[in-house]
Amino acid sequence: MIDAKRSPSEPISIKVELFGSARLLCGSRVIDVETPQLTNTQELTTTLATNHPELVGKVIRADRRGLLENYTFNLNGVSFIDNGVLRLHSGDSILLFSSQAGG
Amino acid sequence: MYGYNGRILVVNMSSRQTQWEPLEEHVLRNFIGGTGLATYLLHHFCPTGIDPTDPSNPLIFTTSPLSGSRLTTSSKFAVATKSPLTGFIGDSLSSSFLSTELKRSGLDGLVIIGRAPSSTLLFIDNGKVEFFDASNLKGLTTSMTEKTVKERLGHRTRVACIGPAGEALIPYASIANDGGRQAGRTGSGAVMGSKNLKAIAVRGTQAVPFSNPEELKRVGSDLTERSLGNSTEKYRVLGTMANMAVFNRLGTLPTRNFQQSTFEGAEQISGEIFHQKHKVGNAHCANCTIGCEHIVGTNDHGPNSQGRMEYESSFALGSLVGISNPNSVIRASQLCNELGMDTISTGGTISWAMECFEKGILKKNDTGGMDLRFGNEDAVMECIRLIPRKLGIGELLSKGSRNAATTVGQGSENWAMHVKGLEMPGYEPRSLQTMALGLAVSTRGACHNRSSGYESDFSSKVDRLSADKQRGRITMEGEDFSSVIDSLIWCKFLRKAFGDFYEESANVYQLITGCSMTSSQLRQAGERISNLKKQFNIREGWQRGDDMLPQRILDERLPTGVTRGVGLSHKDLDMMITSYYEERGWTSNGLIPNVKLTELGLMNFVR
Repeated sequence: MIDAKRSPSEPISIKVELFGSARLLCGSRVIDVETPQLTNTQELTTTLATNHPELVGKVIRADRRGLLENYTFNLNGVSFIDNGVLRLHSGDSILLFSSQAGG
Repeated sequence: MYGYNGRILVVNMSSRQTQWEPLEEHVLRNFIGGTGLATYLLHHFCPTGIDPTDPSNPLIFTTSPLSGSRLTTSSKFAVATKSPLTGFIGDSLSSSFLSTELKRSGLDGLVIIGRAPSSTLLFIDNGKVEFFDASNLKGLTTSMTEKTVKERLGHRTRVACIGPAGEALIPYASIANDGGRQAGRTGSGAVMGSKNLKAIAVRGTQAVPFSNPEELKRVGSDLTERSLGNSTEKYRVLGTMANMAVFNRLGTLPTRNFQQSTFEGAEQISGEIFHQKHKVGNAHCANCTIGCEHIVGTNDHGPNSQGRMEYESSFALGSLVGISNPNSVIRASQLCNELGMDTISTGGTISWAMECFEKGILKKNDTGGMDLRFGNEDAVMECIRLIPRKLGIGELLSKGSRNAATTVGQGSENWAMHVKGLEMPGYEPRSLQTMALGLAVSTRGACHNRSSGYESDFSSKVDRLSADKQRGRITMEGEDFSSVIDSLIWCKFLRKAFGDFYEESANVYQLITGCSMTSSQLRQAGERISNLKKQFNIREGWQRGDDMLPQRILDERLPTGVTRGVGLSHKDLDMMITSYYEERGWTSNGLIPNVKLTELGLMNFVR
């Protein structure tokens, strides 16, 4: 549920957990990101690209409007996220890892 | 028909007689090569109901129409036999130069029957067969065996061999080739050992012509370029080891014999840590542009060890046995490789024993004084050493988890984590419920490579934490896809580089063979091969109850992580299995009706 005390556009703090190449590129397992409660994958990706340009072209598309096709977002370790609206809460985690499952 | 040699070589190890037998075109078109052809040959050469270590159980190696083509990832071969671990079809794949060498020696398949009177080296030199005494190879590790054979026969010779585990007929012994690659699962190494066949050396220089080499080259260049793109990035950068940290976070990392699905030490044995602190180099199979093999080495003060590391080995000898020391995982994995043992079955059997020890069912009297609790690195290494020698606790562990649990009893069957006798891979089924179905119904036992159920589970297409009827269709399609890709043979890591896999593969098949092949014919071939594997199991006594998951999976809910509280009920598993049988057109008991066999041209395989 959207936090009724906050405006959906008011920024909240979430964590982005990085795995694989993303982690190696950023040199960190977790990064903090500020984002509106109501956002979408395009906005989220643009924010990540701004804060961590080292991800562009390697994890994030060159136009910064989405992830490369071999990457995926997952919310809190539970839900895989397609393009579309994201309703986030303060303290949520977005996981960023390769969509190439298996091995 | 181009692209094939059109014949198999049958070698009788008892009589030392050899015979070439033709392969008819309809067989090649219907079963393609690789796993499909190997399954077809298994039906023909394996007598019904025999013990897998009986001399008449054939050990079959098959190449494929793509082998020798230089298409990326095409240098692979299949192995098939009746598995000593499951009693059902034992099929596996391996890679690299041996595949093309077999093809260039003039054969599409090598069928080995009989039993040599003593340890033997089989040498196939451009189709000419020689038998050498291999007493000097007895007891050698896989790498020493390969080295010694090459010193004798020349370094261009390619070698498939067994280690001490295969010689001791450990039912999860593997066959090694080309510097440590393994036909790992289902115990084909034990079948090879039962024939007193220590090693097969192959040399071949005969080119196999292709129908349209110019267009094939162009298609190959295009595919090579795609293989170097984003679709294979994970495999090129970290390899399959990238799974460890992700699976842990998603609550799907089997830990301590599947008692948990998260491991507090996962980050220490993650792909990222192996990459940053242990990476020695990369390796490629022959004709592979992806280079998924990551060589890692120890960096502590213990004995140096170095070798390939894959996710399945790091899970089986890491989280599954409660070990978070990457150096220990490297040593244990490499020791398994050298002894010639499937790392997954080794780890699965040891973890079963660890749980028995912690529950007081196995005691120090049974373990030779060893503290066999989870996390004891020295104990894991000692167990691995003892297994091929069948000494002490190694005698019990050498049976595999199913038979060891039957021996011990006392309820330990409930935590012997296998399907059909094959120990479970590193995918927690309760939190990957499409995969759960794939594991339960796979013809070779708990196999992660056949259904590819994880593809759906790691997406928004399904809810991975709950069951539904669509999983039947997903599993069937995944299995049939695997049947095709394992018969052509492409590496599965290339799968996302294709736009339309069936369309492109059918085109490649035509360019190689000169025979027409449509994408729908290729799909049907996949269905045919999947059903043929099942038909082998049926004739070897498969029953509905064999399609099942271990009791723990159905009785216990996951206790930790984001999947805490998640479970899979017997009723839900049953529902998915029923949906799978329906999608397959099988009976409610999972048998293949005559109408389906007729549709697929398989009536001749009913006995």
